[in-house]
Amino acid sequence: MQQELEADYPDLDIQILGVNEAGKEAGNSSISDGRDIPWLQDTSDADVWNAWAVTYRDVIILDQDNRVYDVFNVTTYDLSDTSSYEALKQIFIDAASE
Amino acid sequence: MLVALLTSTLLGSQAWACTVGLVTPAGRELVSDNPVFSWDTDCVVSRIGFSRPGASTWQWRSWGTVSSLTHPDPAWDRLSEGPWVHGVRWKVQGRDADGGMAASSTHFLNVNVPPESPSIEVVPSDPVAGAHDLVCEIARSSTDADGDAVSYHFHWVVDGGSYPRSSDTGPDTTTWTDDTIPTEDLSLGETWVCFAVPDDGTATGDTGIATASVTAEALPDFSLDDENSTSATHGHSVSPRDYLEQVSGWYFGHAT
Repeated sequence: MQQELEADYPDLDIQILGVNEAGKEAGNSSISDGRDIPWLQDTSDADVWNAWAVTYRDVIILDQDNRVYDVFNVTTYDLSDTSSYEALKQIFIDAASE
Repeated sequence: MLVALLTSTLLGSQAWACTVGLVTPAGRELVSDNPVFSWDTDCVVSRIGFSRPGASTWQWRSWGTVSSLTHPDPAWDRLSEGPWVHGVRWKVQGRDADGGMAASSTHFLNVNVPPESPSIEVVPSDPVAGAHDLVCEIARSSTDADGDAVSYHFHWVVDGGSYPRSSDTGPDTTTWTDDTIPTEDLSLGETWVCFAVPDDGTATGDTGIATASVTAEALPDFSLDDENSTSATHGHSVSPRDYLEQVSGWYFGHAT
């Protein structure tokens, strides 16, 4: 999706990142294989998952002021479903177009 | 207008009632007025005035009345003339009807006009806590009638209380000392008031005031290492704040 957004909307400044839950580090190398988006490792000290009150597989979309623009859970809306995939993509486009 | 009057009855073959006055134009402040007139033999009425009120520098003129003759006599009565700024040493001399010196006095007069209030604004006007610093900016500088360089002293009030509080990290400096509130010190719902006091080095002028309210709050910032060896930021700490001014999507998952 990152590559699609960059190719189709070069004027929109959008970055997708991943945050791995603390204690789940074992698969870091494999999950990022073939991907070039940042994959961040949460720690017990930072405890970002708790600080942001996230649900597993949430995608939290932040606007240009780092305010929450939308939250999209990819368990609820499986991205293998084209409509869900396009819905998330459109959220990014709308957020960056405002 | 300030008029300092000194009345003296002088000795001599004749006695005149003499009035010596200092005149400043309307709106000007006489900071120091310490005339000590010493009259020897004759009556001198001398007035000092601003010949160019409102100008950045001043010219001074003295004139007097001696034995019913009114000066100035341009040949000698224009005794002390600028330009000066603030510190002005001027001399008053009078002569009698025969042209002999009757009185001479040198005085120091310090005049300063405080700078006018600046027009200021707090930017951004709708700050987001955790995303924006608050900066108090001079939108229109203070004017100073004397042409003095004007600096500004800043202080802040948050929700009616003094700043900084015990937990605050600021204030910081962007252009002028203490003109900036770091975003870490902002919280949702707070109202911030900036006060900017102009200072010309001698006196302070009326304060400029501006207000902003924190109407939104960013998610808490953090800093985590990027573990993806093919990412452009691999090996670096990454924060949401790095992506201000753009849209970012944060996927929270498991690598396992």
